[in-house]
Amino acid sequence: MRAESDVGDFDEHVAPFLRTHCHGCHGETKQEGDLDLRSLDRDLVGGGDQEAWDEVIERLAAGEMPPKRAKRPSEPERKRVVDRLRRWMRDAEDAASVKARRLGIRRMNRLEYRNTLRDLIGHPFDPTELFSPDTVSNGFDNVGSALAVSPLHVERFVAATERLLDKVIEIPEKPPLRQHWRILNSSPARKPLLKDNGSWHDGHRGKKKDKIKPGFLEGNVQANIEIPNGATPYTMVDLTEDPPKAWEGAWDIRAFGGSQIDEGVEIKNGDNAFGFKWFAYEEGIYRVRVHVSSFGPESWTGASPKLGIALFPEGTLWQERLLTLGTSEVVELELYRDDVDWYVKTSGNRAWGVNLFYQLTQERDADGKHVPFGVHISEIEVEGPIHREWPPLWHRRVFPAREKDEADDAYAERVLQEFLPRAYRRPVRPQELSRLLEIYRGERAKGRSLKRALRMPLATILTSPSFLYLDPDGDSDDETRSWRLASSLSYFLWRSLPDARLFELARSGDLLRRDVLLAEVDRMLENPKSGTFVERFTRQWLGLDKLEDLDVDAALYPEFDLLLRESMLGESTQFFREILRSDLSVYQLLDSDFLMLNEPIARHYGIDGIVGGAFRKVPRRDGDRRGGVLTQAAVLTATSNGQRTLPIKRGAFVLDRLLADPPKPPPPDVPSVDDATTVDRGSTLRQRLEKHRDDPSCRGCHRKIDPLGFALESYDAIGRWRDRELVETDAAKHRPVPFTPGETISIRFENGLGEPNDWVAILPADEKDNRKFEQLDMWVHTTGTRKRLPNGVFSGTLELVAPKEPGDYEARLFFAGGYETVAAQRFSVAKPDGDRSTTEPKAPLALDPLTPSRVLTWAAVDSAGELSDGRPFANVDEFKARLLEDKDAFLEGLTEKMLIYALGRPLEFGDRRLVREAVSELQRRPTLKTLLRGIVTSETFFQRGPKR
Amino acid sequence: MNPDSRITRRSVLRGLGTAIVLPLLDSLRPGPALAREKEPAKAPARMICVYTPHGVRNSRWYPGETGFEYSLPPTLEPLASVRSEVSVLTGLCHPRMAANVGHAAAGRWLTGVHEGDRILVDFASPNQSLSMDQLAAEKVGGETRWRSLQLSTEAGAGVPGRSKTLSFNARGLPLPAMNKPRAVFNRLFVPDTAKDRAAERERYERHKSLLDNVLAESKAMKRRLGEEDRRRLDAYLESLREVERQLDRNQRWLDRPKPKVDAAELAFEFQNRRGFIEILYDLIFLALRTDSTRIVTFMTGVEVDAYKWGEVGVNHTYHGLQHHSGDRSKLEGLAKVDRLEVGLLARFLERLHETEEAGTRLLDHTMVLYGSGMNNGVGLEDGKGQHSTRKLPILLAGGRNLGIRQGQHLRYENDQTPLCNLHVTMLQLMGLETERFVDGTGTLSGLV
Repeated sequence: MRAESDVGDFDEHVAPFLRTHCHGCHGETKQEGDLDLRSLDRDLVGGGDQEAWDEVIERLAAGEMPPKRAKRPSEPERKRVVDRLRRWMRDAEDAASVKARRLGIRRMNRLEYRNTLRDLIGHPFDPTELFSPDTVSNGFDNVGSALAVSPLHVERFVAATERLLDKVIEIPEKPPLRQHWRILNSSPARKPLLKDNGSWHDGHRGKKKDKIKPGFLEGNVQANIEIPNGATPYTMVDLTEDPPKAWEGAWDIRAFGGSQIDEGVEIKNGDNAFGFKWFAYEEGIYRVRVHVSSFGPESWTGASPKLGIALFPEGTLWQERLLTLGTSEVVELELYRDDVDWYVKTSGNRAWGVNLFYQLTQERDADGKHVPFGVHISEIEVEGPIHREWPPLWHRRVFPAREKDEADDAYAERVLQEFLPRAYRRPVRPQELSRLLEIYRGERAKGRSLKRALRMPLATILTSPSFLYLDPDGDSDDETRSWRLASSLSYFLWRSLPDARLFELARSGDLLRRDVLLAEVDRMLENPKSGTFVERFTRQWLGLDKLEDLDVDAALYPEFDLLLRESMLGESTQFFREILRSDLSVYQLLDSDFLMLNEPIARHYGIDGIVGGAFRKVPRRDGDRRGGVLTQAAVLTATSNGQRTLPIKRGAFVLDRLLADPPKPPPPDVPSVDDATTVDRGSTLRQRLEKHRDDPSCRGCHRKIDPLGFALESYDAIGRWRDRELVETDAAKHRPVPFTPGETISIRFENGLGEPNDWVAILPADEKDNRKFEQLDMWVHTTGTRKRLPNGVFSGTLELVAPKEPGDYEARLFFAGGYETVAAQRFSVAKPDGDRSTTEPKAPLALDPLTPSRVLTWAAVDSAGELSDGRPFANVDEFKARLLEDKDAFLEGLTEKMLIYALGRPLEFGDRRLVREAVSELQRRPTLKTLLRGIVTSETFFQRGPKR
Repeated sequence: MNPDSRITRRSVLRGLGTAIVLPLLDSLRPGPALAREKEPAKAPARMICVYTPHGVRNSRWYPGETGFEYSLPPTLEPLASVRSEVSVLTGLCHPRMAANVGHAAAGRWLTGVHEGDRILVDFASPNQSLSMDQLAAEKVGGETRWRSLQLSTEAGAGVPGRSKTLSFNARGLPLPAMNKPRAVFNRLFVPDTAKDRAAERERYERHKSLLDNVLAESKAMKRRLGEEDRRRLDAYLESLREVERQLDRNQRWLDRPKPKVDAAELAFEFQNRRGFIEILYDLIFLALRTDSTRIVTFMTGVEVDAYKWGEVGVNHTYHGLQHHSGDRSKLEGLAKVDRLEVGLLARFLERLHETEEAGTRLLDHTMVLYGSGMNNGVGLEDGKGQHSTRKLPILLAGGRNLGIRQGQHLRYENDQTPLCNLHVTMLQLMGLETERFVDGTGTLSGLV
């Protein structure tokens, strides 16, 4: 009603103003900026021009329009019109908010499906292995309109259901054989590997003692095999044989690699890996324990050594763990092994395995001497499959204990009655239950046993849309409302179905009480399942999932390993968790007085004194140059391309993720920076981008975007602090400082072939005979230093020592064992000279066959700038201070992202009131819990809407 | 002895075409007419991928000139009779893969999977992504009784880094290969037992009634939904129906007898590797001729092959030949083996060329990819027995009607053109709308 009366108001007061002051340029005769005000839809609630009106209001309010050259309205008149327009907009927002409340059904995404089956049934098997990743829309992977459904999805749902029910319904009466092996070297006298029955054994079934290859771990195997009564050894069947071939198997464990010592095995840096395999048929969880102790010099203050863990047969590096020097620890893994994988992945030889790698990034002490480091492995244990109870949980979750004298049909009805409301997350209609019972009876009529006959109704439930789709709107009667609230709440905070207590509160209807609801939010956040919320929200809000497949240039950033990547992600999620858990101010997200650090991250930041892989809260000190999400390595790396920083992307990140002001996509056909400015020698990336910005077609947006990115130029492509960057310059203009004799020369080669025999040598500049390098002995293979880049070529950084004799030299690159120079660069060596020598490390020499004239040199990083409204900043700290002046924009941005995550749909015009209200709550008490409480008690989240 | 002169069974092979009792193709389509089948019968596209392990002797394989007028190098001479139907593709590689992946090359030939820096070489697993042939099978596999066929000298899947199969499914799991000619024949042409059919039928029926039940549940749900939600649920209903239709199509194969083929002429008992490859080419031919499948992968040897090619007087293992270290006698032996294998391929191509189907030649709509995932030399030179993933020896035969410009030698420079671009090309010709496959970013220039 009000919106309508305001249109009257609009015609009376606003329209004449627009006609007088605006239509001249934005009307019939001219449409400057492609804007014709007459054509804008005045129906804000139902129309599509709200954002254009926003712009109009903003420009008017800021006094930017009408422009100075035009006939301008008086100040009071302009202010009056702005007020009216704002009220008009706000009324429309309120009117639209009623219509916007519907959320719509959506299918569960992959994560939700997996979690739901985990909490509904609890089998460790991952049913979503085959599923492709969900489409990300508006930054999140739970947006209903983007969650497509195709026949492929149906096939995968059916296949997942079938495999799951195979595992759940028919279980043997007794648990499968549990094996427990220990390999230990307690006795100094080496004993050959023995099985408990005393037969020889090295993993090669059937081989005689004298056929055992040397080099296997020798020691004492204690096998403790629990064989339940009546269990028989399994039979292996090779299906590719015709007819299928079967043979009896045996239990086995085998270890290999490492160096054997009297008391176990050692692996050192550079050693082969140490690994072990066990041969087992049964699916289930296997627990692996490795007793390790890490040794090295007592005085060591460098990085802690790492243990890399790879699984067999998967092969990829799976985990890296930090070890503590001088202590013994037990590395424990719990691995689920599937029976299907067992057959196919291991090609029938049923071997699972673990490989351990010892890694240390630094292996020299302060004097440059190699120091002995290593890991001593004294014992390995493998145990499994582990069943803590029998029948297993996943069977009992579906088939509750049968009551005495309970008839088959009555039991079947009870099974479905108990399972169905949990699966559908709502009360069950009588006809739904009777349809499923009918299916059950049909199966019984075919002569199937009780449990087998229940398979079809169970499969029907798990593939029906009532299970697969979330339906937050639903009916409006009170009983289902509380159920739907429980479901919305648990998918928001857990990405899974409600637990028993939530279901109970839904059943009683108590959940509809505000105090109960808020208490539940607190309880749910305490539950470990809320880790999903912290991780998924943080990673999607900040776009960190990109780190998973970002190709970081290993030649430029050799320190970027799995552990650092995991630690980066860990820092950002732990940081968000801390702000949530301790109810800290959300402004800490912009700039914080504490840091969440573990050892790899602290070292990455140049902060001393943090040892070990666990994260801890550390007060921020002056000069840490960190604090808030913007300066976290994960964010800075995700906004790079793995080779260099992307200031525009970083700027857009700030606008989109932190200030609710996503920049418009660039117009088509605009050249990217790399194309627009060909190699512009001697200029920093910033200087090149600024040139780009001079183009009038770019200036409008980039004036706003780029400074925000330049502010972060003090951090390199993996988020390390830097005050200078390497730039290219012309050999002709370059006046290099001579190296001093014995100084380390860093050489960067690019576009290598990756052949094993590429090498780099230093020769006197006038030496024509390349074969001389062998005598001079100033050369190095690129092997071990070269890394493959995303574009398929090899490059790397290696070090040579400057010759003792002063003079002119060349570093030359040879390919594939040849003696032909493919790239060379001159340098000179001179005795130290007071003025010109410097302790600063020199820029690396570049050897690149494709651009031979390239020379690298340092240039200072400039991170000063000003925001689009003119507020200046000199460095990143001031930049963060400027952002904190825009508190409302930040609160609005955070609220919007959180709402998309909570609602599973992009925001609409009608959500503006909700955002406004949440922001004003946040202004009063700026914590994440305020925001979460505001959302779950909102009318949009918690349906009160009219019956549809 | 010239290995080619020992191809003695050619006349027998010719005769096989007539030994098939049932008429082909169109009559073999299952079930009542579907919309698709109302269209006039068109010869279907097919894809055969044949792998030869650890590369070839480079100096005898690569032609000097490019274009259509190149002269056949010694190893490729046996292709003379079909040279206008074959192209030599030089310089294709796996640019994103390490230069040396050892013998993991086979498992990566059709998957193109490159290890990133996170895989450790000794554990390098090819088991990570869908292979190109299986992507094609997702598209056309439903049309035939068998989605695809995996053949190899060794049965099973192998282990990571030593694959015995070229094919990997969407989970990256290897599809085990068959290596017993009799078993392959049985699978293709011998009727299933009543028991097997009953088990299969039961599985279909179970899935079908599951889909029926879910459809009923979905409709009940739909009645309670508003307009927009109904549209969203319709996508699910439509998908359910499509899966059901696919199930129906598969089920109809159960009721259709397998094609009858007279096995009398087939030499199931082979004496040596040559005999093995011959009988498997025979079986592949029959599989195509009867439209039992349209996708076949075949390894004529596995990586680290221990076979000693007595047929050409070689006394080293195949793998030993590959590690020739520049040794002349080993290189000679390798060239002989290469030439013999190319000869067998040539016979197979000739048969496809001589056979008519739907008014055209079978070869004209069958693509035969032949080659290796390893270059055992340096560049195009013989080298010392390297294991390079650059400049792979590759031939592509057939597919003229699909648009391939056959009969040329194409060279791709700089080790920058991915083999996967050839995969993209072949996938497109199989009817897939894709511009990418792993590191393949488009079709191969000059070929189509």
